[in-house]
Amino acid sequence: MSWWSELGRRLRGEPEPVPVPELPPSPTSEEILASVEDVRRRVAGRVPPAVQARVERIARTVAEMVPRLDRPGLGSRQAHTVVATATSYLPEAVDAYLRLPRDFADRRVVADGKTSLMLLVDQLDLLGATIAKISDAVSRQDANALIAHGAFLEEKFRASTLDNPPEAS
Amino acid sequence: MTDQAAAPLDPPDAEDALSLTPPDPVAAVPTTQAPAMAPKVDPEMVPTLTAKADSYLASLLEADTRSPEYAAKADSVRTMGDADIRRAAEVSNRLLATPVKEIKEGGLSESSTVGQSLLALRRTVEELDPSEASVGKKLLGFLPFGEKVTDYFRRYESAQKQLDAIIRALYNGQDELRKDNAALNLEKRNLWDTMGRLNQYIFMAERIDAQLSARIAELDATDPERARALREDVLFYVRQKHQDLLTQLAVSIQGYLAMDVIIKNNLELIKGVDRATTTTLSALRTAVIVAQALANQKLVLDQITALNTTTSNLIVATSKMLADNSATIQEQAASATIGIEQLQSAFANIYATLDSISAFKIAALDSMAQTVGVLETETAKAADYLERSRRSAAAELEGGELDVDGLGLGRPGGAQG
Repeated sequence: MSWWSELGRRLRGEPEPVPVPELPPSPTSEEILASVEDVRRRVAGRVPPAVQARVERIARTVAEMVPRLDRPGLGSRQAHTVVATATSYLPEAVDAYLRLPRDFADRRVVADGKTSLMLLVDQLDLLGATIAKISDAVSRQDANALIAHGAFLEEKFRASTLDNPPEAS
Repeated sequence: MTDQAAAPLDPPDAEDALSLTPPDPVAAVPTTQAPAMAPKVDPEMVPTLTAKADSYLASLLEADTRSPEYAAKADSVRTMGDADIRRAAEVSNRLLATPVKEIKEGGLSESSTVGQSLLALRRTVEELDPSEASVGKKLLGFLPFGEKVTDYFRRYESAQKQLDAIIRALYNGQDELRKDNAALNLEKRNLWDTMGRLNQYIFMAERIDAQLSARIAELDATDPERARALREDVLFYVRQKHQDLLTQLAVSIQGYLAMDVIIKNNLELIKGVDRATTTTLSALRTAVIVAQALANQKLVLDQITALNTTTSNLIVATSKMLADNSATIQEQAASATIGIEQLQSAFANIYATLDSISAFKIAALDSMAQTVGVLETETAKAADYLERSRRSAAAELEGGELDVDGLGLGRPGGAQG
């Protein structure tokens, strides 16, 4: 608020405005990547290969997506999903599993006939599929730009079929 | 075919006003109604439970009232279902904490992510408000497109970082609410199972009570001494246990309903936040178009509005075309189709959404406070029992003869709510 409007407010006798609450800043690209990298480090050697492979796959997609996050617009839900996958959905799923004793997690059925390990694999599959879909949609958008540009070039430089061939000189 | 082809298109559903309704507060559950409200005893279980009660009675009636067997049988009634009652009590105590916590730091409170973000949204939107005071009265009149308009739209560019953070925080807040609901639903399922077990004990207690009372009435004539012993050592405790079970069941039902209230509140809030983000984004998109049309100013709100590049480019291109063509068209475009009124009404939408969320929060908090009040009273009633159960803590280790463990208690369906 400028000093001028501040003065105006005082002259009008309006109440002091309630300050805008501080919101946590959006995570930067580095923070997003670091969060995924952390998860990869935490699972390394501590989980079955099935989990490791899925974490790697999600990590790869996130790393691929991070530089393109501005494409869907930062206020978009898709961008939010990618960021939240890296900073919350993935770490929370993995940590909840890692907190369990290994034997219990891999053998004991806990819900719907599934062990904790199977539940984690399901969750990772869902996350992986979701962000792969988003990544695909963003790529498609970029590809559309290429297609449109091709159409433009075609339109501009295509010779008419009625054009006479240039005279040989 | 032709009829179908000629059928006029339906207009899109009008965007109805956002209405958020808080669920009614939970009323006290009378203990007498509790068994009917709780999950029913599975008909398949009835023969097993009956047999268990009957075999208990048979061996009780055989034992000499001075024998250690008799004392052990009498104890069985006192400790019947203690483990389950204690488990249910733990859940209801935890539940009592949940709505209290919900009021203090849940989605409804000002300090929550959602509360803070909505507050920030209101402040930021107020800064951008396209009221006449901020944009200038002459805008639609004879001195159009002055510096003031350009300045006004520039505010969007400086606010976009803040808006981006707000929308992101709102999405995070929604995630928190959804996580809370998932946890509450799980708790509800566990409580459902416990209530089913309590109801089985109530069934057995009623069976024992009926059979034993009949037997005692007979004994009154033939062996009054034995009748007195049975009445004092067993029947009294059967009835006391029956009352305890009913009380605990009523409290559990109360907790179950309270969880429903929180879940429904969260769902309403999620809906409200959805509307808050869509109205905000749509106002920003309107601003981009209006800026283009009024001031031929290309707002660079790429952080926010690049939701669909193709569409927004198209809109900008169209308004640019209108603006470029001729001064007449430009004026028309500005005043008739995409003018400051549209922007003002887009902002009115945001205010309406924020207001209805605030109204909802007040009503929901009120309903929640009443629910907490009822829960507290009921839990206090159940405390008497817990005192008794603590005295017979030995049962915790051994498990009484009348425990229904290992009876193949299935998880009844329909725990979702």
